[in-house]
Amino acid sequence: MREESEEYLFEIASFLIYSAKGCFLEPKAYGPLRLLQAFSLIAEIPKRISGIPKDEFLLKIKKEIDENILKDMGDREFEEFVSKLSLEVAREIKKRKLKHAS
Amino acid sequence: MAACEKHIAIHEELLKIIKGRRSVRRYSQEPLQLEDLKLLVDSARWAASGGNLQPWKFVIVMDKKMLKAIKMMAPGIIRDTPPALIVICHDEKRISGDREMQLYDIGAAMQNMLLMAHALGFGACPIASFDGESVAELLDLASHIKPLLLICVGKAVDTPKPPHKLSMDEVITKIV
Repeated sequence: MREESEEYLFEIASFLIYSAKGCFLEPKAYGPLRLLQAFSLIAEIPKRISGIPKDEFLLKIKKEIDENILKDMGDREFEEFVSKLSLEVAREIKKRKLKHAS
Repeated sequence: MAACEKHIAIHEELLKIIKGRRSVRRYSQEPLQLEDLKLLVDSARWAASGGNLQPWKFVIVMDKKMLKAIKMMAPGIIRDTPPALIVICHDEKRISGDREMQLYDIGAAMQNMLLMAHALGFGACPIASFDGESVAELLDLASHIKPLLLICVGKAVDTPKPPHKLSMDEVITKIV
């Protein structure tokens, strides 16, 4: 498991470096696309690396990302999709961070 | 068969292959045969090239560890690690004149390969989002062989729906 965990961490790290390099040359929309792919990799950490609890919310967003990123979306539609995700995250932040606030 | 009917039949047959091709990103893990992959390279090498310079070289990758390592350098491989891939490279020893012109030739070779893959019943996807320098290092390629495209190939488990295409009226700017 330790070897698998290290391998997965290295996989994420490599993805980030190659995505950063690609962003200099690739179409503008590929930047947010790579960040969503990175989100998917991060959301899967509990499944791949022991000792980290599963987060149902992250997995739900990951599912949405995986189902949508390869759809034939125009730039505007893609932007709307990312905005929708950020709103879902905002609601979750509100729920998690303000639940004890008076 | 009248000439016109013959043309229509050929057009329909070829167009069926052209229109049916999709960028397939989900594959079964069933291994591919080297002979099948060679058929794809064979179709690519018959592409048109300026001055018949044939500025391409191909690397066939079937080794699982190597496929996984290449995927790590290719953010464009969004779904599965393919059971095989072909790296289309620019052979810079065959440059004569404008390098950019030769990139068109390599694009033509890629399209031949994609159409042949579809005609043979495989799913394939061209990937440009990868780091060519790193892939060259990984594969120990000679310095004049520059990876330009990855063609992921496998048995499709999920074939995408046809994408939106501009109509004929939208793409023909003028008839004179």
